[in-house]
Formats: sequence, C-alpha cells, structure tokens
Amino acid sequence: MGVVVVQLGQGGNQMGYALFRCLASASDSFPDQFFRSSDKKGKTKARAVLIDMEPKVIHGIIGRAKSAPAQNNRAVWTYDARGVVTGDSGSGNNWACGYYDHGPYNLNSMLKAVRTEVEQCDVFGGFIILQSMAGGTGAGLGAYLVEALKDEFPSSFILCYCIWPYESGEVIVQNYNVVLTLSHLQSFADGIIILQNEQLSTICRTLLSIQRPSFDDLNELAVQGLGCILLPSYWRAIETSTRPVSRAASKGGSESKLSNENSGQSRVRILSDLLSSLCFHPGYKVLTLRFTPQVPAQSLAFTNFTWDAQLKYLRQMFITGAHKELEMDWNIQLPRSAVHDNKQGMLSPAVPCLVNRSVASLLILRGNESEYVDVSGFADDRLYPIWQVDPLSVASSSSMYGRYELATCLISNCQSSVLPASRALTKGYNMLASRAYLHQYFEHGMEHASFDSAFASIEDIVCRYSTL
Amino acid sequence: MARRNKDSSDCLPTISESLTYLCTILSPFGVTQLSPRNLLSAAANEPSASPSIWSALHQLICLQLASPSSSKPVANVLLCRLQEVDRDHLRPHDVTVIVKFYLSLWGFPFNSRVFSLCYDTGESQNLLLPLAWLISRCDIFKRALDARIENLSPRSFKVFPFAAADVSKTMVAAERARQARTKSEIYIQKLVATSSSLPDIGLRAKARSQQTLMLYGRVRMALMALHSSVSARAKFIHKLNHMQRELKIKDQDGHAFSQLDVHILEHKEILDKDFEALQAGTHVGKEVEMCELHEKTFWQWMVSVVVSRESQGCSDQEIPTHPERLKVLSEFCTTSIIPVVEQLKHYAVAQENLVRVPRDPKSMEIQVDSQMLNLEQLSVPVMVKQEVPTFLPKVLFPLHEVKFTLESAPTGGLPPTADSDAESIVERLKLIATALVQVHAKIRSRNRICLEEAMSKYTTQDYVLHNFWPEDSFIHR
Repeated sequence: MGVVVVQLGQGGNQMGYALFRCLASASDSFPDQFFRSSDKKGKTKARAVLIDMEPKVIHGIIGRAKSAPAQNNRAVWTYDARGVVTGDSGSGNNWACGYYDHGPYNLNSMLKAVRTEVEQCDVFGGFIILQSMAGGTGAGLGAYLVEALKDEFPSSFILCYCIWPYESGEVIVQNYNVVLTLSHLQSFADGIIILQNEQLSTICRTLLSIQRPSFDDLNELAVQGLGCILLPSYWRAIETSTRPVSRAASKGGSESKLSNENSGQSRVRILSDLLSSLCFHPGYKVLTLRFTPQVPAQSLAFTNFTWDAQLKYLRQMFITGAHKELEMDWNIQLPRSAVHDNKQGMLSPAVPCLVNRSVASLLILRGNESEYVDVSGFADDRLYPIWQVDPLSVASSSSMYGRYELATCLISNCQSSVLPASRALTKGYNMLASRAYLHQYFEHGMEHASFDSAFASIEDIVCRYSTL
Repeated sequence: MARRNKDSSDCLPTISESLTYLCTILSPFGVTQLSPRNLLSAAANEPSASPSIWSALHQLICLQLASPSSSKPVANVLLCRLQEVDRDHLRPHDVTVIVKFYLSLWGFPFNSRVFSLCYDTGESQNLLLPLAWLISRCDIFKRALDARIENLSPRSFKVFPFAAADVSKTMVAAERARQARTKSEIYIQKLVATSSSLPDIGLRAKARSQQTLMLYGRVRMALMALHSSVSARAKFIHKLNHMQRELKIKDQDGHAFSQLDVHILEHKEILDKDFEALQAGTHVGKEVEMCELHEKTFWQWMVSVVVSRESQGCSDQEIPTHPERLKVLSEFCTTSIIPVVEQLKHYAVAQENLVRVPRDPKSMEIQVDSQMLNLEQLSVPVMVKQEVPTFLPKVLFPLHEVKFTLESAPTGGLPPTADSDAESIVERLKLIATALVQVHAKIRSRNRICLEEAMSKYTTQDYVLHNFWPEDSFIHR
C-alpha cells in the first residue's frame, strides 16, 4: 500500500527529508509504502511531493538526497523531479497569503504533482502532510492543500504531521497561524499529530547531549517516533502467552527471522488502521507521539535495554503527559476510585494533579520478543473515558528499529495533544482583542469572521478534550 | 472379399475391417474360434466354416448365461453348469443341442433352418443369422466398447481455483473478514454493556452519544478503506489488460488472452490434467465412433448375406405341425441338459429378488402346464361347440384381468352363441387370444424374463392359428 508524503514549506521539506532518511536506514530494505522503483533506470525514489513557494530549500534537500552516501549497501534514493512544485516568492509567514493567494494560484500544479505520485501507487493508502503551523506556506498553503486533497481524493486518509512553533515566538503572528491551521485541519484531515519544537529542543539538550541542536538534529529527533510508526508492524493482543526463555537481545536482528508474517498475524495498514484505531471519533483528531529510548548515539553501546524499563518510563510519560523520559513527575498516579466518580483530567482547571486522559492509544513495540511483552498497564480504564471500549491497540515487530535494539512509540489521542493549542488560543485571543496584525490577513481577502470561526473551533476542541 | 461401402460420406470401414474388429472384440469374451475368414466363408456357404460358427454360438450363449450384462470376459461357463455331461469332453452334438435349445428358449424364430442343422452342416450361411441375432441380443458391440473405454474413461476435470493466485488469498481475506465481523459484534456488545452499566441516566446518555459518534467514525473510515481497495482492484485489472496488450499474448485466432485465459494459464498443472482428460475423452469418442462404424458395416454385411440367401432360394422350413413341434420339444427335453421346466425354475429362483415370484415355483409351473394343456384341448374340434363354455372358465379362471376382458367382451360375459359357426369360431378365437395375451401379461409381470421367453412362442399369431384352428373349419387363412 503506497502512501504519498507531501512536504510543505521549509519545515515540512526538511522534516520530510529526515523522515525518508530514517525510513531508508531503519529497515533492511526500502519500505515500498514510501519508496518506489523508477522504471527506466531502476533508481529508488521517494513517494513524495515537495511544495514550497521558495525553491531554495527544496533544491537543497534534493541535492542532499542525490549526494548522500549509500547506506547499508543499498543504493541511494532520490526525489522524483515531477513531484516538485515551487514558486518564486515565499509567503512571508503570512497565513492568508499562503491560503488565499499561493494556494489557488498553484492548485493545478500541486494537484498534478500529487496525482502523478498517487498513480504510481498500486494500492493508494493516503497522504501524510508534513508542515509547520507557524509560517505561511506550511500553514496557510498547507491548510488550503488539505482541503483540496479532501475534495480531490474524498476517500483517502490524510494524516498531518505538524510542527508546533516555539512558544517563545518564532513568528509574531504564530498564534494566529496555528489556530487558523489547526481549525482547518480539524475539519478536513483525518488525524493531526502535533510535534512541539519546544519539547524536541529540550530532549536534545537534556537527554541527547546536544546543547545547540540544529534543524537537522531536531528533524532527526522529530521523525524518530513517526518512523517507528510507519515502518511495517503487526497487530498483537494486549495480553499475550508466556514469553519463552529469555534470550539476550541480539544486535544483528537475526532473531527477526521469527517473522510475524510466518505467525499469521495481520499487518498494520498504514494510515487506515492507524487512524481507524485512534481518530475514529470525529471530535477527537489531535494526536501526540512519545518515543523511547531517548539515549544519545554514543551511549547506545553501553546501555542495557529492557522492555520493562522502557515501558515503565513510557507509561509514566503517558500518564503525566510528558515527552521526556527523565524529569517526570512520578508522584502523579492514577486515581484509585473509578474514573467516572473521580475524574481528574489534565485540563480540569481546579485540580492540581494532572492525569493525561486519552480517547485511544496505539503502542508500537520494535525489537526482540516484542510480541510477548506485557502492555496491559497502558489499557488501564482510568486513563480513558467511561464510554470507551478497547481503547488500546498494540502492534509489534521483532525487527530492530535502526540503531535501537528495543524501541517503543506511543501515539495517543490524549489531552496533552491540545495543551499547546489551549495556550495558543489564550494568546491569540489577546492579540485578536487588540486587533494586532489583522491587516496582514485582511489584505489577502480574509475576513474577521474567519478568525471567529477558527477560534471557536479551537475552543470547541479544547473543551471537548477537557471533558474526557 | 472385402467390399467397401459406397457411401463415402460416412467413411465406413471395409467389411473385412469390420469383421476383424468384431472378431477382435469377441475374443476377450471367450469367442476365440471366430475369424473374419470363417465369417466370409460362412457367407459363401462353405462347410468348413460351420464348426467355428457353432462354437461361436455356443460361446455367446455361455456369455449371456453367465453374465448377461457384464463387459468382462468370461470363460466357458456353461461347462461349469453342466451337471450330467462330462465337462472335459463337450461333443459337437452337445454344442448344437445347447445352441438350439437356448435359441428356441430365447425366442429365435422357430422355423429357422438352424434347428435342423448339424454340427458339420454345409449350410453355414444359415448359421450366420443366429450368430447375428445372438450378437444383437448379447449387445456385444456395446459390451466391447464399454470394456475398451473403461481404461480410457476421462478423469474428472479438476476444478480451477475460483480466483487468480494473488486473489486466491481471499480465503485468508474471507477469514479475516469473518474475524473482523466477529470482532465488530463483540465490540458493539461491549459498548452497549459499558454504557448500560452506568448508574446515572445523564452519564448513560452522554456515553451513548459519544459511542454513536465513535461508531460513525469507524464506519466512515472502514468505507474509505474499502473504497481504496476497490480502486486498487480496478487499477490492477487495468494494468493486467495493459500488460497483456504490451506482451501481445494472443491465442491462435489472434485474440488477446482474456483475464480468464491468463488465470487458466497460471494454473498450468490443472490445465495439463484437464488436457489429459480431454485427450482421454477424445480417445473415447474415437472408440465410440469406430465401434459405431464397424457395427454399421457389420449389419449392412448381414443384410447382404440375407439378401444373398433369399436370392439363392433358401427359405425357412415349413412351420411344423403341433405334434411335430411337441416332438421337437420333447427331444430337447430328453437331453442331458436341464429340461425346460427346470430351466424355468432355475430362472425364477435366480430372479427372486427382482420379481415377485411365488414361493412355490411349482404352483406357477403347474399353472402354466395346466393352462397349456387346456389350451391344447381347446384345439380339438369336438370341443368347439359343446365344451368351449366349460373349458373357457378353466383357462380364464385364475386371472382377474382375463375375467374383466371376458366381461367386457361383446357377448357380455357369456360364451359366444353365434349365429354361425364362423362367427362363433371367430369369437372363440378372440377370447382365446385375449386370454393368452392376458396370461402372457400376468406371467410376465411375475416372472419377467424366463417365462416371458418361454411363453413367447405360444403367443404368436402363427402359433395360435396353427395350433387352435379347427381342421374342419370352412374359414381358412
């Protein structure tokens, strides 16, 4: 099943390049969901469409892809030149410029590039949109393109992987942009993964020993969790049979010969299964990724990974809403009483104890004996609303994930997903009240009512998550 | 001399080829002394052919007695059945007696010359007719054909998979669909149970509204996934058609292979086995056709033999008188082989499972004997006028069907009182004939095979007229 990755704007294109590098290096062969062979010369090409109103970044990553050395004795991969759509001038971090000007102007060329790539897929699985939410192209044009894709491919899944800007303020109007983008994506996308730059930067500094993380470092960290989800995996039950006699985790991955395929398990279909298990409720579409281990590369050889330890940290991260393995509040525990009698949600204003409640979660385990690990702790009813049944889905793959012997990734439709939106909403309201920088939007044809509806939509989202 | 049929459109084989075929198919059935040369010699009335024809007749009778319908070859079974004759020395006279007996028993025309021929007769041509008659009665051609095609019978065709190999995994898909359906049903039950367990009605309503939205979302996404699968399928079919056009895979008529053709070609082993079955079927067809052609030629040759015989002035012998017939019958019955009645008894016992045979076969024999005796007595002229009325009930008494016939007769159930002798004789003959027919029918229904054969000669018009026609009647045929 083929998935087309649409890289929008500077942030989306850079992250897209990092994603394809991660997918190519983390598995034994190029996953055919994201790569295809070119008929004429046999080269491997990414199933990607690159869109930016400035050509500089796109040309840069295309050049990097071409010149990248071969990895794991495999040929390099490249981008298809037919999937590139560029403009002459950028959006200037103006959401309205991207949505009302560049969007309609470049729609045909964008759809043509998308259609070309979609036609290369034998079984088309949907779109992954990589974009930032603070700027003009990724945010504005991205929102417009998502609407257009939904019109053009109404039965295709759309998963948006969005970079949330630093809350300190990369762009002065980022609060407007994120609200506008998120409101549009809520209406037209099937799932939205929010990735906060703030958290990525913190993890790089505190856990990965990267004091001044570059964009590459951040992108590499950003796509770790996404790559863990997108690589092939197989459904498994929450409770499994007795684990066989434990064996030392082998680094070579030879244990992966105990193939999930041979055991008759069904494979996770990217996007359709993913979104069906997480975003089935039309009112809850915002997702969060948590990935472990968060260990510097130089420490991997000296670290002993165990499933129990990793899952313990991951669970606490899930409960507290944290994204870092360390410096979590271990005092936050699940309430003893039944959920509906003692609801203490993260967004409850009067309650200091913050338990991150979730609509649904998907846990992916990669590594040796991943199919036998006990993950029942993530299915605790106290983490989910009273009306939810079977909220946890688990998939596994006995193959190693890149350089990690054991890797876990939890993608959850939880309250922590909308925390940044809640904060942005507050700040945005303040700016809106003073009518700050609205003229930049009005001059591109945007009206005040658009802001009103966008803010109302985000308020609705935040309110809905707070009632979990 | 071989003669080719003039009808070239049927491409009939030559007579010698057909006779060779006949001898070939007779050989497995134990008829080993017959050869095309003998048959042609017999047609030419050569005495040297007579022993082989008699032997063939004898073998065919043995075959019919041993296994009336089997296609398997049999040995000289009659030797085993002979109880009073030395099995190792079957005399030519015995052969002729056996042949004549069973021919008469089975209904071969009694006025045929064969009944007066000896083993080394010079009229070998007259032996061909009973031979042909037995070949027809024993259904030799069909039996031989069944034996020949038994090993060639086409194997049953192996059924192709209902879908192409890559789609054959629909078995897995069907199983997963079943699992998904089961999972969905369980999920719904859980949802309902979860919301039903909530104590507060407001909470319950809220929970169910959320669950409804959840189900809507799941259905929507399932439909999207289904749409994707359908689109993929259409794409694959289009791609397959395109590939076929590009590869220019065409059949003998220049038509591109259809997807069904490709699917069939994909399962080469099944295709090969089906080809084998087709070839076997073709061989069977050829055998059937060949057998039909040879049979047709054989019968045409037999017609020519009959025509030749008649042109030579040979005719069947005069129909013997009743005493003469009885004398012949008694001669048969005095042989060392099973007499007629015992033979009938044997058949009746053998057919016990198939027909309703009276427990005491003797009662049937006595009934048959007495009825025949009464019929014979009716032929005595003095009985015509006075004793017919009294004799008729004796003949007709046990049979309800005959009673019905009698009652429905123009005379209203009374013996005929004709104005003239002629009329009375005619009426009497009508009643007798009717009685005979009814007796025949009744006996047939009870002892179908054997007694039918035994009584058949008594129910012919010739027999009735020749045996019950009063000599002093002024009505002559």
